[in-house]
Order: sequence, then C-alpha cells, then structure tokens
Amino acid sequence: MDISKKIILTGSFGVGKTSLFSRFIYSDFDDRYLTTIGVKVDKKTIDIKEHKLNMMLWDIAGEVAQDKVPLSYFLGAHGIIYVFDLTRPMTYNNIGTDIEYLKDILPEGVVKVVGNKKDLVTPEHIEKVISSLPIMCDITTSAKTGENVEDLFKSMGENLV
Amino acid sequence: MTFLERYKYNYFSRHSQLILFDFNGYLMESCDSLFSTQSFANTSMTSWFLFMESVFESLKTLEIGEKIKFNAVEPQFSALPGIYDFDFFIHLLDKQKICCWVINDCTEQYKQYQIMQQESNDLKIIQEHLHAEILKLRSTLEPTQKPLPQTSKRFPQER
Repeated sequence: MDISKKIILTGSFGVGKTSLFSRFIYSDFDDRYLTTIGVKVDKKTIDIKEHKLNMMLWDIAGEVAQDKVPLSYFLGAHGIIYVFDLTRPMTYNNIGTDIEYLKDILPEGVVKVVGNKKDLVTPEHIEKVISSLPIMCDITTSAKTGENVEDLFKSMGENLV
Repeated sequence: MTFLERYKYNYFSRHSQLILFDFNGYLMESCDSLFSTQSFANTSMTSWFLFMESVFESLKTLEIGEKIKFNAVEPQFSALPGIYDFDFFIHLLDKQKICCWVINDCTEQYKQYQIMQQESNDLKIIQEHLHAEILKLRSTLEPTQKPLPQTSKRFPQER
C-alpha cells in the first residue's frame, strides 16, 4: 500500500538541514554552506513494513526562532525534523521553546530532534551537549559521512506509518 | 490598449502565470506564461507536480474566499527552474469549488536576497565560533591574569 507523508526539516541556519536532505535523497554531500531561501521540496520512497512510504520532504530556510517560520509551510505536515548543530550552542540554546512551539502548531505530528555534524566533535562532547538539553535528542547524525542519516528517516517513517 | 497598458501586460505576463484547477486536481485553464500545461491537461496535478502532491489535501480543506501563500519555493520541477511565490485562492465557479493558483517568478529578487543572507549567516557563524573561543580562553586564564574584555551584551542573537 502506498502512503504519502509530508515532513518538514527545520532548525536554525547553517545546521545542515539541506545537507541531510541531499544526503538522504541524492546520496550527495557538499562541504560548502549555501543558505536556503524559502523552501525546497523533493521526495523519496522507502519501504516500511509492507508499505511504500512516499516521504515528501520540505527543506526550509533556517530561522533562529521557529515562530519566524511561515505557518503555511507546516500546513498538512505529518512530521518535523528539528536539526541543531552539535558544534554551535546558539542552535540549541532555545531548543525547549522551539520544540514546544512546534508541538503546539502540529499536535498530532511526529517531532524528531537531531544533533548534526557529529563528525566534528568527540563522543564526550556529544554526551555533554545532549545531557544539557531540556528535551530528548532522538539521534545524532553526520550528513558529511552519512552516519545515522538513513536511520533518522527510517525511524521517522516507522513512526508515521 | 495603450502603449503603457501593453507594456504593463507584457511585463507582468513574463513573470506570472495563473492556473485554474478543480478539486480533483485537474487543470481547467492556464495562461501558460511561464510554462506550457498542454501535456498535463488530462492528468491530476498531484501526479506531475510534487509540490502540489504535498499540499493538495490541505488546499481541499480551505473555504471559499480563503487564500494561502507559499513564498520562495524552489519546486524541483524542470519547467519552473527558479524561485517562485505561490498564491492559492479558493473560488466558486458555476457552483463548483475551484482553486486559482498564481505563480510569481521572483527568481531575480530572491537570488539577490540569497547573496545578502549568505553573507549575514556566514558572519553570524564566525561570530558564534569567536565567542566560544573567547569563553574558552577566559575559562583557562589564571586568576591573577587580567581578564579578557566582556563580549557585547547583545551577542549572541537574542530572541
């Protein structure tokens, strides 16, 4: 059975949303940081249990605070992937407020919290950052090496089916 | 039509396209200014336009008179290779609920904005790393040493 779900990639600027998007959809990575303006939309179909899941991914422009993201982008969304950068405290200092806001606007949606750029830090640093967060971090990833990227989207898919 | 009216019409028609479709996703009419819809006439838009596939169910929930806007969309659709603003308006035509989709090509404006946004974001990221370095250095200073100057109270970005 075919199922379609809309998933939003959000978070502050420069955290690697587009890199995760490109890694997952095109198996591609570019070291240069190119800011996203507005929204890019693409799709990847994965097998989850007996279903074909069409993941329609919206890679949106990074904002320091989530309440600055246009509400129309979230219309009809089923899941949100909130990305922060493990090397930049500014991208997770307000994570509690941001997640609360996202759960308010999408109460039925699945929200995943992702710490990206794990290739740039030590396991001790990751542990320290995660334990300092007021909410649970679901997974840490590296769009550069591809570590945990498939797992992130697979886990989102499993929660959505 | 006066010269100015013709000029105005040509100017705007080069940057905008209007499409009418029904709530099964089928095209009713299009001015085809930006791309030709001829080959899509008998297929639902959700099957050839990914963006529409991801918003169509939500559009169907809108009431007559309602409108919704999506700014700066890069649709990953070969006939629309730039950056566009999409407006959707719900109307009643011959007792049938229909949707008017207005596509505005804003590629030039967004490309300019992208350059400025890139510079701004790059600078903010450098500032953040410098701030982190200052804090690290400050924490390693001996108590007898003169402390490093305070960083700006407005930094980093406050909400």
